[in-house]
Amino acid sequence: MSNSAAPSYNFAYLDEQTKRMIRRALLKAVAIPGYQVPFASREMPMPYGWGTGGIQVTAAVIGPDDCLKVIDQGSDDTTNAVSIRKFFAKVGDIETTEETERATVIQTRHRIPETELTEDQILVYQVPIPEPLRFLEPKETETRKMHALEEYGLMHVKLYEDISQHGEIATTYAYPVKVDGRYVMDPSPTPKFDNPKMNNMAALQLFGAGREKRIYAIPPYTEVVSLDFDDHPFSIQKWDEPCALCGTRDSFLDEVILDDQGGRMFVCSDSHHCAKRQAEGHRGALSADPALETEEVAP
Amino acid sequence: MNYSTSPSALGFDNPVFDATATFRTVLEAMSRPATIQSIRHVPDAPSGIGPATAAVLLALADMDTPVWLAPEVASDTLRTYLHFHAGCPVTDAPEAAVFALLGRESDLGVIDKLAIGSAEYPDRSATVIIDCESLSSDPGQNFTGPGIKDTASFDIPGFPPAIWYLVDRNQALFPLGLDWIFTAGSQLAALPRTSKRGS
Amino acid sequence: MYVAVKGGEKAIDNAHKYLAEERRGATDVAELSLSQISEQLSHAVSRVMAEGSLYDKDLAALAIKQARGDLIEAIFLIRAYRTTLPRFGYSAPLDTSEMDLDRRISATFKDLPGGQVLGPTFDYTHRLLDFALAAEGLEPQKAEAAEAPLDEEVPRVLELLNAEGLIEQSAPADYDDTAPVGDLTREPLEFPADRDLRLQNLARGDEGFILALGYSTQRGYARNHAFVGEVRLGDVTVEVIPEELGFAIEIGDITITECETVNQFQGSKTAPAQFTRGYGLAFGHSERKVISMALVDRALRCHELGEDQVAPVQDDEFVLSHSDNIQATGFVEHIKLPHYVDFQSELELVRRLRRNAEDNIREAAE
Repeated sequence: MSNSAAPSYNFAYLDEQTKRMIRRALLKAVAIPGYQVPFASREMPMPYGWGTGGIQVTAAVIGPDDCLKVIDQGSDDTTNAVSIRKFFAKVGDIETTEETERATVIQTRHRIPETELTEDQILVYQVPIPEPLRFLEPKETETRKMHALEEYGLMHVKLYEDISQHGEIATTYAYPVKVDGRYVMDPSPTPKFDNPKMNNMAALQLFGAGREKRIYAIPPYTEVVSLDFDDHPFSIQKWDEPCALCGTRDSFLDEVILDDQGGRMFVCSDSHHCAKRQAEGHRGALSADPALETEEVAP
Repeated sequence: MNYSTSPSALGFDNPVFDATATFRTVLEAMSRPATIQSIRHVPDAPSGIGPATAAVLLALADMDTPVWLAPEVASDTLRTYLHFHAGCPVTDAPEAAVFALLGRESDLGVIDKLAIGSAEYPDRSATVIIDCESLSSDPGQNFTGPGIKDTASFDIPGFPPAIWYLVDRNQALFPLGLDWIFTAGSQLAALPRTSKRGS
Repeated sequence: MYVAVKGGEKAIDNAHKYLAEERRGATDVAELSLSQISEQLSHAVSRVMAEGSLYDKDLAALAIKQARGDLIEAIFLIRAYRTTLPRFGYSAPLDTSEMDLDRRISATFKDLPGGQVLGPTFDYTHRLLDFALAAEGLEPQKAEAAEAPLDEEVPRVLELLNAEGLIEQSAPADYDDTAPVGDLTREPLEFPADRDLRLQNLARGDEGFILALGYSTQRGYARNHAFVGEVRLGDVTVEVIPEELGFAIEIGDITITECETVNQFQGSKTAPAQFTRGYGLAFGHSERKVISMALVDRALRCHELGEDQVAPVQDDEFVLSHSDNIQATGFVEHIKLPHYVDFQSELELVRRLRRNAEDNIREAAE
């Protein structure tokens, strides 16, 4: 790790007063699971939409003893994940890692790691639109009232319209959940594949929306239920084939286009999970080193 | 009172890192209700309050957070300490308080006057800090709720049992309500408004 | 065999080097100096200071240079710098009637105390490309000084109407002059927002957005019949009152543009008819901005003035939530970031829905 932390910036970039403001918001967020706490989001040195909310939450939480992992689309090597990791290494001289197990703070955009998280970890989500009702009702004054009155009929109507039109609920990411039986919450644009991981997770989950100036949280061991209907129960995505690199059938797969003849393959979106499995000897159909036995073959 | 006099007690050794560590301890306490946590780097605290109480206030209070002090703890020493190290206003109006500090002898009647938030902004509620003699994780009061895997057991030895009545009544207000931090020495435990006391 | 793409860090480093090269352009052309920018691209500097919410011509010039002339990018650089600055306090309200004027025009009176002062304006230029400017080194002709100096006293036009009671007071009777002024950089906006926060938001808001909204009022979307009572441009003194001193001290002069509009009158059986006001103010020379801002300010006062809300420009939540170009450009542009995972989720769904539909069609045919 470099020691080139810019002396002109405070540890983790934010000034102490801003950190206290965010910390107070975080504590209230934990005390009211799934409720969006307004906070005076600061202008950060990266654009809104690049994770300014998650970055502010991480900056308010992280200390010199922490080890930070940053993922985007499940991968540590996505350009914006690289950029955010570099930012914290620069302004806080903070140790970073790609190993999910080693990280104490994990900042993510769009995925929850496949590896089960522990009580010693905090998962920080970057959130673009924190309000699950926003696309049904654009006015904040109205949606705030709906949350206050626990009036979520509009959301059920929307999901039911999906069923009548498509035969199933056509929401595949940012799939709304109900937290601790009270607040309907947007899990951020994670695929619904990840929703079950949020339920009763051992780790603390924190959500930061910088542009929309909201913070929310799910404490550990909290019930998180994906909204559904008795006759149309919630279900997650499935793939017909396993990961082409590590052979797993249990993780979220990205489609990679191989040529312009319709050739494609499916690989784990969680790059660390996939690499770890390969290091353990698991192999898929298109592994770099197929010398070891291929345990599962794509159909 | 003359605030320009220096406080008798020093604050955090390292204001940035110690405040971060203290916040993480409070976050852990609030995320895992009724578990007893230890503050690693406590500040030098003025007489009358414990080091964990001092740490929480220095880590979280500032010019934007009026603090209400129960008469038993509201010494000039403490006011000077908070003014100098946290810069927070000390308010006489409990309803304006973001943090309310009570001691082990304090009249609990003030609890009813603290802000519990509104239906649209339940976060605009006070956090109550009670400086206690000791905290115990021996079987005592049992709690369930978010952050608690099955049940958690916790007690405040020697504290008036009326506190549990107030905790219960506050819990029933959810999503409105106060959040509690109990301190003793360099330890603390928290009960967010979601924690439900069982039999 | 397939090898996953790696090397994001190296790509980013190289992209930044490439960007710096492109910014510099051909090295046989002299590099721009900051004083060239602040002296010769002064409207760009004004806009960056106004929407960046930071009055510093040199920093604005640096931001414009670094941003390669992309003014929204320059505003972003200034905002991100501004947020790291310590806050010493709040200034006393500016007294624009004491302005050292460069320009002052009124559309409501042909002549008035203080007179019409045209100043440095594009208004009556013929927009013909001046090819003489392409030949560098020509000195512009000097403007002739007026025969008489400007009047000492140049009262604000709307105060002349106010003296007759023809226009509403600039502040309502119950206005508390000592109450703290809101600051949306310190507290998240809540709706409905009070006028102080609305004006702060509009002052920082994107010139193009405010212009379009102001224009929409003129075309009938919440028309409010505005006259420009006055536009003034010049320097005002900024004063602060340090708590320990208890009296005002001057900390410097800034150039600002101010516009007050005289709008559609209101009246009822109990209250005689009266004109209403719209207000705009911005750092630097920014006439288009302040006139647009005054139109939008007036439109946003619809509830206070008992008017029906019929158009987007009157909806404070719509206007204030979308005026900030740093927020807007960030969120609009962020959709170029990877969305593989969400797209994969949609692909999986569309394929399955199509498969189900095909199955249904086949079953129906059988």
